[in-house]
Amino acid sequence: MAKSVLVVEDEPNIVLSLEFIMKQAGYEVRVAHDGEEALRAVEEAAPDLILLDVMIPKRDGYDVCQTIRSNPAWEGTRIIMLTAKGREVEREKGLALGADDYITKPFSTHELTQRVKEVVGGG
Amino acid sequence: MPEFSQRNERIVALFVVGVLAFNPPLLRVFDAGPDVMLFGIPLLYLYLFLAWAALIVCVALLIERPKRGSGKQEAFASRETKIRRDSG
Amino acid sequence: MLPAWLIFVASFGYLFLLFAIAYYGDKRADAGRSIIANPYIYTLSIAVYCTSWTFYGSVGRAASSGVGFLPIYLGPTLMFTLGWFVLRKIIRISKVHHITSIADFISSRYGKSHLLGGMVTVIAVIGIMPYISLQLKAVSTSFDVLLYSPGLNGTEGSGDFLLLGDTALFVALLMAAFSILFGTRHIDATEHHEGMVAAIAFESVVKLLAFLAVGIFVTFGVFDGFGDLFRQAAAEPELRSLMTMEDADSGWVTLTVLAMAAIIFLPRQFQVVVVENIDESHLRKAIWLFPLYLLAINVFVLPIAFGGLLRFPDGGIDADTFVLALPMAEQQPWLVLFAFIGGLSAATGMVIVATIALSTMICNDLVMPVLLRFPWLRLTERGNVSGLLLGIRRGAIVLILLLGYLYFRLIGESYALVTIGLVSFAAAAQFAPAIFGGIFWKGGTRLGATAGLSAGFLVWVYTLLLPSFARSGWLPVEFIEPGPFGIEFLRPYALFGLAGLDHISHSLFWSLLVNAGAYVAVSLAGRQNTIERIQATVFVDIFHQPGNEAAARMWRGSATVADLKALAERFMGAGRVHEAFTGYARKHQFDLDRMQEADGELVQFVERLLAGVIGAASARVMMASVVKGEGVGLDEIMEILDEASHVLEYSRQLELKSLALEEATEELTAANERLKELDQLKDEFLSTVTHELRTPLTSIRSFSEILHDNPDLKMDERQKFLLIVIHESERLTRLINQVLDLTKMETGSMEWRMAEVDMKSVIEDAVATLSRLFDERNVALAVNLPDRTSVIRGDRDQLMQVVINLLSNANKFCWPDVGRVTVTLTAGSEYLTVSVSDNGPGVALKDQQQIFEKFHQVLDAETGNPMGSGLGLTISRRIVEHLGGRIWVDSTPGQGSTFSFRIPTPPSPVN
Repeated sequence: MAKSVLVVEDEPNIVLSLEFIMKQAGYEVRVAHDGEEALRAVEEAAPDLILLDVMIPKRDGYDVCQTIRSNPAWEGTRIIMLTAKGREVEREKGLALGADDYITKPFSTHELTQRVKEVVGGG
Repeated sequence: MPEFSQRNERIVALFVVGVLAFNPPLLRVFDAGPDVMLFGIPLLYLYLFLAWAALIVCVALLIERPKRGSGKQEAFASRETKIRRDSG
Repeated sequence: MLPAWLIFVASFGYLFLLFAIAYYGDKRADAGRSIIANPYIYTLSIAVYCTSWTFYGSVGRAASSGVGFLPIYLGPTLMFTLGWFVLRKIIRISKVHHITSIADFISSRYGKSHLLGGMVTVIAVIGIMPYISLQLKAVSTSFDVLLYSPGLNGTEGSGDFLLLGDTALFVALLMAAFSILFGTRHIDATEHHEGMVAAIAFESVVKLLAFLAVGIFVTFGVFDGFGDLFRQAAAEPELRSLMTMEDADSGWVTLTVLAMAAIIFLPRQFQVVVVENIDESHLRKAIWLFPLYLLAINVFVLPIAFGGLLRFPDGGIDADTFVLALPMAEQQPWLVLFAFIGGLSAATGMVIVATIALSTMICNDLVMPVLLRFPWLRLTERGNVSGLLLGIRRGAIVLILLLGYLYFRLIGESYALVTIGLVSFAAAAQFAPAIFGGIFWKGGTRLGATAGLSAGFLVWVYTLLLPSFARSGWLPVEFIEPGPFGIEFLRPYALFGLAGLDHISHSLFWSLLVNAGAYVAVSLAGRQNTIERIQATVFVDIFHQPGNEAAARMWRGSATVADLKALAERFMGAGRVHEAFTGYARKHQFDLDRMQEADGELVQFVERLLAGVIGAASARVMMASVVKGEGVGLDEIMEILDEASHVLEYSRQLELKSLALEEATEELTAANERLKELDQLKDEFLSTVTHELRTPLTSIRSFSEILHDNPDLKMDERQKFLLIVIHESERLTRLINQVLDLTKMETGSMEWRMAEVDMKSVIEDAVATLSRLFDERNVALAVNLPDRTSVIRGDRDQLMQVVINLLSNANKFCWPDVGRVTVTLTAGSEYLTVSVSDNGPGVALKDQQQIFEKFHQVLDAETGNPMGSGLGLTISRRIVEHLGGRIWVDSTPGQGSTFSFRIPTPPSPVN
């Protein structure tokens, strides 16, 4: 069974590209446009991986990450954070809150696929 | 003593006025001869004594007037004087 | 008219009364309840300036020169006007340094020099000699007038009554005795003679009242008031010139200058004004009260002079005696007696103070330094010297009066009172350069002062004193004319050919010229030694010194308390020393009995104590005999002193500065906070810009890679992805331009192409540009423009940018299909207003200000998505504000919003 990926991102074009890449890599893809929508999606069905943008409306990426990590039921869900803010602090913060990896925008599609594979295994 | 400066300037100004008033050029103006009298007094005499009195009044007003805005300086000076006297 | 015995009884009675007052004054002073501690007594004591010269001589001078007697009183008035600077400074210096005479003052200023002190004393004694003789002459003349004037007296001369047959000598001896009783009863450190001051003040009252009594009698008794008196005088041809400046002009300025100097520098004036001053604040009243006294005593001089001239037209009566002669001629015995007592007051007052002042100087500055130089006298080891001191002073008093008498006998008979007095004034004026220079100029040196004083004095002797001897026949008269050894060039009344001046002016000019010239020149040419520099600083900066503590630090020498006490006792007697020491100990709160080593301050205290008795220079010598190790590095001391003398000035300035600093600190703190805020903002700005740039870049890169990696993509998908890349590239470009624009505007390097812009066409163009965007989302756009053109001054492109920003924002925030946007242009008298209204979600109140800030992104009310780059409104605001306008938003959340901006219209009739 294909691994499921939840893309949480508010920029429509980036959503589009992520969706394309993940599908091409063989994952099952769902999309959420803000923090609340993301949590709802996770509650509905916990995905294997969340590609979580930090700068999203309503509840930001850190918040979402922390919430998911505080619930033992979602232990199996991996989280890769995406951000356009390239500062080291942000990266540290993300990892400290329980993210499994951290990718800076703009990213290389190959590298993204590679990292995703490392975190959750092939689709 | 910057605090005193205005009064100091006034004192010097009074001195200059006095010097001018009591010396020949201005005196000659009032040197009208024995026939010019005011209240039965020769003008020259009257002028000299009145100018003299006026100068004294001005100096008195200036020196005796309570100072504004220099209280601190004054208090300081009198404290100093007191120290001096004590040590005597 | 008056029996001789009555005159004698009255005179002695009066002198006895004076003595009683003095005795009472001293007793009260000893009991610590001074009767002279008020400014009025102080002022009256200064009136010792008015001597027989004033009492008798002024009338004499007025009778020959009209108002020519007045400069002698106008000068002091002028000097007292400046008293707040000059006198106060001299008084303060003298108090701090226990200065006891003018000689002490000058010697102390120029490095505690014995030589200078002695010189000043010699000049003072010789210079004052004529003045004292004047008093003797006046008193003896007044006796003679009373006793021997047959024309006035009615009775035949009763000269046999006088056993001595020489009134002047008798008067001189009497006065000497009187002065000794007054001034040298004991030795006091402060050299205050409270009893004497009280007596002098009393004398000033008596002489004023006596003179006024005579004046009023003459004016209103003999004549019918001022008017009558002056009218009668004006009718006499010989008297008419006295009512003009004609006879007064000569020497008027000279006399004024002389009197200005005399009021401070005559030894007796220095004594009463400076030494006897017990409270500096008394000066405040004296500054105007003393001139008032002078005015009062002079009011009747002219009336008495004219009265005398009218009453004794034949010139048989000496005008100097009018004050007595007039009441005598009018048969007013009691008024005569009162006038006589008044004249006696004037003379005795002067003689007492002058001799006491001079005897102090002779003792402290002439005799003691000499005695201290003779080791065989063992003066420094003698048990009690105070008796010796008193003896010296008493001897000096007798000597001074005998000198005065001698001058009177040799010369006095042939001169008028005023002329004699002026010779003394000219001598006193010699002190002016050294003292004025000394208190206002730090550069004056001991050598300079010595040179100036001696040169000035020698010229005075040559041009005034010696000629007076010659005129009296004690020198060959050829000395005056044609000049010594027949050299015209050296004629004493026309030195170096300077003719045409009166003798006094001539002498004053030359003596002050060489005096001041030598003082300045020698001072500038030479150098000060350390003690001179110290004293110069201490004197000139007297008002800027923190007190005695600094001076005390100068002493590094050591001495035992017992030694110091013993030293002081030798000069002042055990009682007074004990008093002074216990007082000092009480003030400084230490136990003298337990204290072995004296500290620097105590050493200073004793030196000043001694200085009060034997003068600064001698005190220094005496201290050196007790204090060991005094020869410390004086240069070092100088440094300390310099430092100390500026501490006050600094602290005053510091106070002001610290206030200013506090303010500055507050400002700085505020500025710093703002900077920090700005820094934070900048950081955030950078971070946000980064984010905004990376977002489109992410899409571009992703789709580029997708396209690159998937050559077999379907055509329409390919087209879609490429379009995204293009759009995102455009977005990136736009963003970069916006950031650049904003930066340019913020740094002021934006180039504005200012021109007249028709706002109407700007809106029309903007609408045309954006119509496709509106169509895409099916948002209705209504345009409300006035008919006529609306011209303002601005940059067309930038204005266009503002309108486009507002319109595209409105478009973005409206819901598709139902959205309605209206753009309106209103032309007011002062402003053009452009409004863009939409029916979108509106802007929350809390955001209405912030949306104009950088990167403040308004979140989509529905989705919570941020909308726009966050720079558009910021740039719009910058543009509008740069053009002098304002941009704002009116909005009710849920009911749409209206963004408006207005630009001022040019005042000229351009539109």
